[in-house]
Amino acid sequence: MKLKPNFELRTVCGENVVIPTGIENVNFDSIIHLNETGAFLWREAEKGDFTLDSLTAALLAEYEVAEDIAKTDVAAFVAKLQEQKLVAEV
Amino acid sequence: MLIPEVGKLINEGHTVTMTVRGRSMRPFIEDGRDKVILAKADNLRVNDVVLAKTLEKSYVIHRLTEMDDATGECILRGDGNLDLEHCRKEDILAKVTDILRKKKEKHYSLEGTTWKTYSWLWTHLRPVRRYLLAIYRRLPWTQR
Repeated sequence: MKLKPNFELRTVCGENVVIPTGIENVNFDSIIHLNETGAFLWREAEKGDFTLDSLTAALLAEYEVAEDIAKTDVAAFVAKLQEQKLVAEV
Repeated sequence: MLIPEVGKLINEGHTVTMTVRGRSMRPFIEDGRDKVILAKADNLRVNDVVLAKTLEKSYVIHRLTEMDDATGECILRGDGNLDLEHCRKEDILAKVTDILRKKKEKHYSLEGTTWKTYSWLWTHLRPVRRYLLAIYRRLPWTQR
């Protein structure tokens, strides 16, 4: 999987939000907020191709968290990205 | 809270859609129900609806009622308000180009006839606005 281009993570007033970078309308009603873990996973995903396993591995390397919890979190994160159509399947 | 970011995005050439909070643009724009589309505040004219930081230090989306091109001093008044606010021209972050009303998000351009007619009527009814708003507040379908 890959993140679609033209979106970027920004910190706004201490909150992590995903905002389109092209010249287009930004709908503040459907803006995507990410928590700290979400922001970490976004930065990992931004690096290029990713899979559920690669994100889980990155999360486990960064945070002290049980593997099954990491897996669930990553799955939820990716599901959310797909729901918001931010992911391009390769 | 996100308003400075809205200003930044608009400067970068985006337009921004957001739900309006507050009752100060009644009766046309209702709190939490309607959305506005904001764009760069080019060629400002009196009667435009603008997003501005007022000298009273709050962000508002209100009607521009007076503008002094020489000094840059502006006066704003919400359609649903009786009192005025002041701001400087450079503190106008954006202007409203469109309004999306109610659940169906019915679209009104601020260049369109409906808005222009409403605008003309509502600004001319200013002397009796206090009473019109009082009636509006008591209408059974008005949000409390």
